[in-house]
Amino acid sequence: MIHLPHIDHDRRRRAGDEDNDWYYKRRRTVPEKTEAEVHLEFLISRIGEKSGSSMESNLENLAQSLETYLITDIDRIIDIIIECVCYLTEEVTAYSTLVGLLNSKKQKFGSELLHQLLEVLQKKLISADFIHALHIVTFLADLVNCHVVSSSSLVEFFESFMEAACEECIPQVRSDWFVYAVLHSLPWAGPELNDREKEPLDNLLEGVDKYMLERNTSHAKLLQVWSAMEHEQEEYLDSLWTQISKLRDDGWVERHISRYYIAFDGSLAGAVTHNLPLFSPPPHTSVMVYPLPTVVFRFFDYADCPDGGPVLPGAHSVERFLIEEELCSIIENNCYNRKECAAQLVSYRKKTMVPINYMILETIFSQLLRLPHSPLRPLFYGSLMIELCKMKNMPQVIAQAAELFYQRIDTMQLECIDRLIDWFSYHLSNFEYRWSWIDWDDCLDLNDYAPKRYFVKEVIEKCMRFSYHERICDCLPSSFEEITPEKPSISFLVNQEEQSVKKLVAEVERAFHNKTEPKKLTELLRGFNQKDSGLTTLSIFFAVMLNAAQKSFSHNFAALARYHETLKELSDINDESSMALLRTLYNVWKHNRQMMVVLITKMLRMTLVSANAAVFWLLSNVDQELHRLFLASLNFWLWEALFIVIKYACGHANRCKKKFQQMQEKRVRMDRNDGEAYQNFCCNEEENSLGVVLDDDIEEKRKELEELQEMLKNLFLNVLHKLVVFLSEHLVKYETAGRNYDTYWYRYMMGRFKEILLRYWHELFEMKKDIDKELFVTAGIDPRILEVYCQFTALRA
Amino acid sequence: MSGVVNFRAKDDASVLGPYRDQRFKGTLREQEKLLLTSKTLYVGNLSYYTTEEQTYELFSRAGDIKRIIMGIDRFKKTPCGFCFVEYYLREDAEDAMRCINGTRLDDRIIRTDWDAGFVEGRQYGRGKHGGQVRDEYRKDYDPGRGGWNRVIATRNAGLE
Repeated sequence: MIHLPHIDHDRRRRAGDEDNDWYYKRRRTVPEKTEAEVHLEFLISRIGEKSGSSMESNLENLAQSLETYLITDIDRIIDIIIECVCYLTEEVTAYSTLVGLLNSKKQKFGSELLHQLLEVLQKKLISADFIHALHIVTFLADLVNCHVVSSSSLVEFFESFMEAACEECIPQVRSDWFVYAVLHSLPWAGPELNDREKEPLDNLLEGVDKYMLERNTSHAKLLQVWSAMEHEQEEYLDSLWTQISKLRDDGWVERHISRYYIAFDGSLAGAVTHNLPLFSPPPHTSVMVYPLPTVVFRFFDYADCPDGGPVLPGAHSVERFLIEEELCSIIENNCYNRKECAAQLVSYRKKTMVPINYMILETIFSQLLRLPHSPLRPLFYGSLMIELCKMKNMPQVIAQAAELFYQRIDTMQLECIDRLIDWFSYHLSNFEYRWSWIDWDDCLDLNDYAPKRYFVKEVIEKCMRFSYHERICDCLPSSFEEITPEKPSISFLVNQEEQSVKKLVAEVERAFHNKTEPKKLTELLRGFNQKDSGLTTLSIFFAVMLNAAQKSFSHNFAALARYHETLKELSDINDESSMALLRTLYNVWKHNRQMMVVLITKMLRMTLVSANAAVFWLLSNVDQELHRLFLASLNFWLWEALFIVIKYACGHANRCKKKFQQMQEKRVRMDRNDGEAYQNFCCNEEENSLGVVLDDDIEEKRKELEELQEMLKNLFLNVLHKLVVFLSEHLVKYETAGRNYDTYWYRYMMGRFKEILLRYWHELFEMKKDIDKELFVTAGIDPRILEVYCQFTALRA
Repeated sequence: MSGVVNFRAKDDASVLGPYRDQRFKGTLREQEKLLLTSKTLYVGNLSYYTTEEQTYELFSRAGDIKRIIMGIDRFKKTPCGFCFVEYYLREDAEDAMRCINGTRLDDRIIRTDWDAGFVEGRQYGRGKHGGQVRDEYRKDYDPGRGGWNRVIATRNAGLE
């Protein structure tokens, strides 16, 4: 299984998603298809659908049907087949067989198809659509079995990929993709090449072996779900190379690929093969983004599956790889419809040959837990598994998986544990929170930062947010009381010993009760401000306001909106006010984590709190020894809040960048048009709301963007610096005392360090020079910390 | 060449449900146009006891929520089993339609539908007794929504 990862926000975006009138545009711009074209699409794209006849019979009939179209619609047929190949990976051999039959009827068809395939491949590579490019390469490889592509030219094609991989001054991730594409194709083409081109094939594989030996895999440690496990978490290219090597040792015999073309040996043998045209991959440019490396997720082996059922293919068998590839393709093609996705997974064509429930779950978790990011939103996997629970036997396998995760959680990456917490709590909320909690009571004997205890505690916290405190307590054994969150509550503890404070509190409460105008309240408070420090007045006012609005989120939001100006007036320009507000918020709501988290989010958006100040305050609390030892739940909340702040800051900078780019693009278009033509063009422009773009506007937006990027850079430098300091101090202290530094706390904080690097890898790479210079060039950095950072930089090396 | 053939499973997230707000100020076409670009979802079949906080936890899994408005009984001003969820981004609302619609909140299967956008006044139940219209006609006993509907409850009370 290797489903090359790609940036998820690009991945899920569909053309016109955010256009205001995309629906009407779509209807206007899609050209009308002729009846013949619709018929062709229907015939060709439904090739794999279930029918009473065999696939071979369907293919023969289809080839005969299409023969009459080969004269008039050859281009359309080629386009449709290429489109099918890009999307339907599990049908690649059906389409290659079809192409072989059509080529045997009309030689020109094969020749034109190959030219078009390479042209599309070139375009896919230029547009960084590496998944579809991979499917095309695999299809080309399989055409060698159908007497469409000559075996010698296929080997030359692969050699050109290896040459591209061995270029100098290119990132390893670029080279990796070309090697991966070659290896990925060999399960299909290997047998034929071994028969006809043994020596060139051996030379090719020798080149691969040499490449693999010289390749840097330091990134793998950072991407492994588990740092130590009975099932090795292998780097994806190493894993595939091992699988291909085993396939070669087995004489290129595998038991998975449906080779329909074997049934047509008689027809195909007489066909004229074509040489592949010369192909040169597009050159590397600095803006090109290649798929990140990944690590193969392994979770089950045959011993986990029921006796008497089909045997799970071994981790190093190519069958395991091919099945997971096809299941990933099903998920990708159905990611907008969880019911259809579940139905197609369960009815997977080769479901009787493998323990399908285990393969499906392993594939889903491999995506959910993929580092740095899952390809789809985690919620989708959660709802997909709920849908799968409606299928026979699947609930038991999911429960088995949850149990296995718990047993293996000690060495699991913290980022993956956080995703598991969100998944499992969501899953339980759909099944009345029924779980054999008592089976997990061994976590109660562990340190607060031990992964098992952290996991169970946080799952319960999230379950409580989906429901309420009493309900969750009823579901838990009494022994779990010590890790059950306290009942959410408010603590309003303004110290009213001073007379002036007492008076202020009374005045503010009266003002709220009387629904005093915010302006008047502001004036009242300003009067108090003169007698006392501004921050005290601000803190007291905020505390009273939070207390008055305690009933619900909406009451709090309404209060923040109503008194937004008041809070702004009382706040200084500097960050002291932000920290005063956060301190007050914590003091009032420290017994309700969800309220704190939601209010921080809202206050960021309302610019009552600055992101950098929030980060500083949160980290200063992480630092305190007392909190570290006695208030683990405080630490957990601080990190939840910290990730919210960082996510907000990144989102803010990204939105500004996007707006700036839109303005620039519009300006360029404006310069290319004049007068009336531009006006007409402008009326239909999706960015009409931007109005006429002036140079001054662009310059102003550029400055805003630069400020935001500077703010973001400072934020990350602050976070990373603090983490390095925490870890360094811990290491020095423990080694000076002669104690083992590898404590649960250390693993937890190292996990957070990795989590920051993984979650924000994209932003961090953009500011990598600054981070290197200011943080990691220092000679004093402990090698254990530096090693993790080097693993991070290797992601795009 | 993209879009020649549709290989992806049908995406129901943008498909409009049959409901149209009879009090919408504007034409049917205008309402439908808003529904196609909306970032707001109507959520139905909530329990009367489901809180804003619970709704927030579930729907925030699909993206950042701008606001939640709980539906309330027109007379009693208490929750009466529906709400509006507004996202910052349309694509987050679409993911909620794909992944949350038809799953459970507070042990009840909830239903989401596109909404043309919250306006003041729409948070109130429009049923004769102040709650939702559907509860005026409901024939089953639903402990999460006040038990029997009002007519049946009144008749039962008369029998005592």
